[in-house]
Amino acid sequence: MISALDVSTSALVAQRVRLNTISGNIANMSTMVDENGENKPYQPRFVVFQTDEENAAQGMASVKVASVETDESEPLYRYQPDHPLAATEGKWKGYVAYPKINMNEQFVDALEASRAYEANVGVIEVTKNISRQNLSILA
Amino acid sequence: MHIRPDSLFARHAQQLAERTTAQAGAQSTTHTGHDFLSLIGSGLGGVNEMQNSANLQVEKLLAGEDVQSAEVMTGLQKADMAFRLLVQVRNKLMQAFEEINNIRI
Repeated sequence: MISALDVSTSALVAQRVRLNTISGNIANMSTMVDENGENKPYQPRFVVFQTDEENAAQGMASVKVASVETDESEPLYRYQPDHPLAATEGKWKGYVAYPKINMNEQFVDALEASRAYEANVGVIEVTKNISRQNLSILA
Repeated sequence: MHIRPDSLFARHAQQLAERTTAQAGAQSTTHTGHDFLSLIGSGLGGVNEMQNSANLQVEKLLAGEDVQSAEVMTGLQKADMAFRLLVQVRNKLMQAFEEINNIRI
């Protein structure tokens, strides 16, 4: 009974990390320079979940965050030759690289994560109720 | 609110210890297996440990440390569940004890 709570909690923690990456993506949607001051737009991050077989004996699989990956696809280029960060040579001369973050995608992802969070809280509620009912057998 | 289970059950444990020693002195019977005292005692120890760790987690959360609030809540809930179970077991055992106590010889 108690390990069922652990499984639901692992999902809560994992979804929390997912929401964290989404908040980071939206916060950095116009970040043009990386932490070393280089002209490199922010690349959106996403989480990869993995099963955790710690409680496999009771038929349950927990979830954990396997890794936080970075979307390595091409940034968005906008033609702004007067911009100080515009490329001065090469194929994208005069273009400025913007982070490739799709707000709609991020919001749908956030909605899904928050619904998953809600669902797991619901499961915790059910587990709690069952344990209370069990106690009433004894009383 | 934090109930300290050791103080909650201290009276019963003490009474029980007195009765057990009195009985042992009168009859000098040796009993094996789990007696009531060790049963409740080990249960108390486990529940107390869970409550202490939940307390520690709550303190960390309130101090603004980097702990997952979901884990803190689960820890609290587990401690609560364990405590409720212990109280129910204790009630049941005390009920049985009263029942035996009322038998006239």
